[in-house]
Amino acid sequence: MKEKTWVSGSLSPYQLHDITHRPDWENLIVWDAYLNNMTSGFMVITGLAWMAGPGYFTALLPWAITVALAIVVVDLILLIFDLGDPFRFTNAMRVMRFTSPLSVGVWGLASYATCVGFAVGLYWLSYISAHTTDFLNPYIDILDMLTRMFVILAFLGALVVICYKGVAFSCTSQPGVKNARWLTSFMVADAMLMGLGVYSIMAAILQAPEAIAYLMLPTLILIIARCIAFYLLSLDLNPRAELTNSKMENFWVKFSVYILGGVIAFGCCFIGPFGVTVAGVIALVVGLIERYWIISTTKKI
Amino acid sequence: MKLKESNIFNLISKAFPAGSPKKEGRFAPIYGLFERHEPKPRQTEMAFFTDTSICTGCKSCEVACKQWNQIKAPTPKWSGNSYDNTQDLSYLNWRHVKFIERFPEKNEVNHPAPKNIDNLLAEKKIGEWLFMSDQCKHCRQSPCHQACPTGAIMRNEFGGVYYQTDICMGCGMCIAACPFGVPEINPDTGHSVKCAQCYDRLRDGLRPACVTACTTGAIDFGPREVMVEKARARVKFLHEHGHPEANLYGCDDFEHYSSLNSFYLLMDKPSVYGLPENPITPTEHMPMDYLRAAATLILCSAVVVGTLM
Repeated sequence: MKEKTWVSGSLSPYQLHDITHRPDWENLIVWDAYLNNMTSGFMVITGLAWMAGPGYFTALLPWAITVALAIVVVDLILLIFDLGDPFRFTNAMRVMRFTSPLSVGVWGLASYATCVGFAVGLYWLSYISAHTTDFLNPYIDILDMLTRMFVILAFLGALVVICYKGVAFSCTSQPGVKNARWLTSFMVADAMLMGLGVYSIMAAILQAPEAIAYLMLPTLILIIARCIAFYLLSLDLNPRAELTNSKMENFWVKFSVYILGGVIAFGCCFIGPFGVTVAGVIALVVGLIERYWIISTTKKI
Repeated sequence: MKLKESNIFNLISKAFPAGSPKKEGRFAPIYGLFERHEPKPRQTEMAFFTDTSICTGCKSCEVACKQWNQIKAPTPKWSGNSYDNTQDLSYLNWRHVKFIERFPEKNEVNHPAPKNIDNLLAEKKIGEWLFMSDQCKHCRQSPCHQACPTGAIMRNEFGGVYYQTDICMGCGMCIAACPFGVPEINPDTGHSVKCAQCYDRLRDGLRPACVTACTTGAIDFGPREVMVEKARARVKFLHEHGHPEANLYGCDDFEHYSSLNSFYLLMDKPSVYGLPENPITPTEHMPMDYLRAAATLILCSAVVVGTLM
């Protein structure tokens, strides 16, 4: 029944809906948040595994940075085409403003993508040279050193990118996310888990079960960390989610996170390398569901 | 989303055609990217003061705003909410008059009509109207300005918040940041727009169009200090004449938000008019939010390194 807003004592018509306007936060922005976290988490895992892990990970490094580059390119395309005027994207590179999370993100993402791009380019150039006429033989040491340097720079860029995305949502006036103080923590924990997931899948495709075996323990711990971070986040978001989503929708999201992405993925890890890879796939699927849920809480009511 | 033909590269190539001399030894197009004019000298800070107690809801301000700024005026849709068919501030409505009716549910007239005007005026009031001409608040510390990644949003020399649509890339962060629901992206251009404080008129020594058109003087505009004095005097007058509910909104700093350069005298709680009771500056949480992210990153990284070594 329509509210009788004209009756004395009733709420005024301006009290019955959100005051704020909502930007065009639909599929593109969800996928941007998803791929952004995926590539940055994956790059952080790649960097850590390369620097601190056993030799298996060094062998996988060229493939890992290539996958990271592919994901970040898709993410950049989504980010740019989500703009009202995509050809003006370069305007964001004219200034740097620390009060603007998007400004920090654009610079972080651009730096990260450029560095990982150079690293990939240099590596595959060396590779082609070594497998053809060896035309770069006199410079191979320099190329190798440059590749390593760009991987380290890309790793540092990914550290910025992994942190800004949550802030870009939580430091707004949008209902729901504006109160989600644990959103940044959740996004980082989830990005790292998704990074492990992508790494496991890549290692499975490249038939490197030793590397997957090493990823089992961190995957187990980060599954627990993600569940804790999601619980803290949902304490902030639940009141709003109850208004924007149906009870069933909220139930299935929590079922996905705790049962599918928690208990089942946790159990899969004990089956062996294949199970860890399955857990990685589950982490990626659940990551997308979570982001749709988070953005859905900003829907205007 | 509409792809505009003109973009930054076209602008640069027009500004620095091939063969043009280098500027101060730097390559011209690159120089053009970073060229900045000196900001205009700061003028007296100006502010709007809207006294809703004398607003009659005539919508002259809405019309004047559209006329001066050449904003499209599509056929209004009947909203069912009093005379408010504009419904909200938007890219097409930089001014919006709000209507709040308050009458008894059973509002039938059960007595003869008054015989003369004196009797009519002496009748007990059975209801009331509230009107409010809403607009951008030109916040003194504006979240949209802080959130803009391109520098398209600037504070002009009169203290107003001005959107440079020729720089805006349409990311929508200003929309997300504004706690009052003011800016919107114009889907025809892809750029964010809102009340420009009639900056062009101000620079020519004129007052904003809405102020000039206001039939009752409910919208006033002038140096902030003068407007604040007027507002305080008016609210004092209303308190002394049987309106203890009169209150000022945005004249002084909020607990978690700056004061506004468009402030209001309201005749009820701010929420009744669709204004946030206690707006919060979104960047207030930024340091701690970054810190939480960094702490989580360090913990997760430590776990990964510890288990891989």
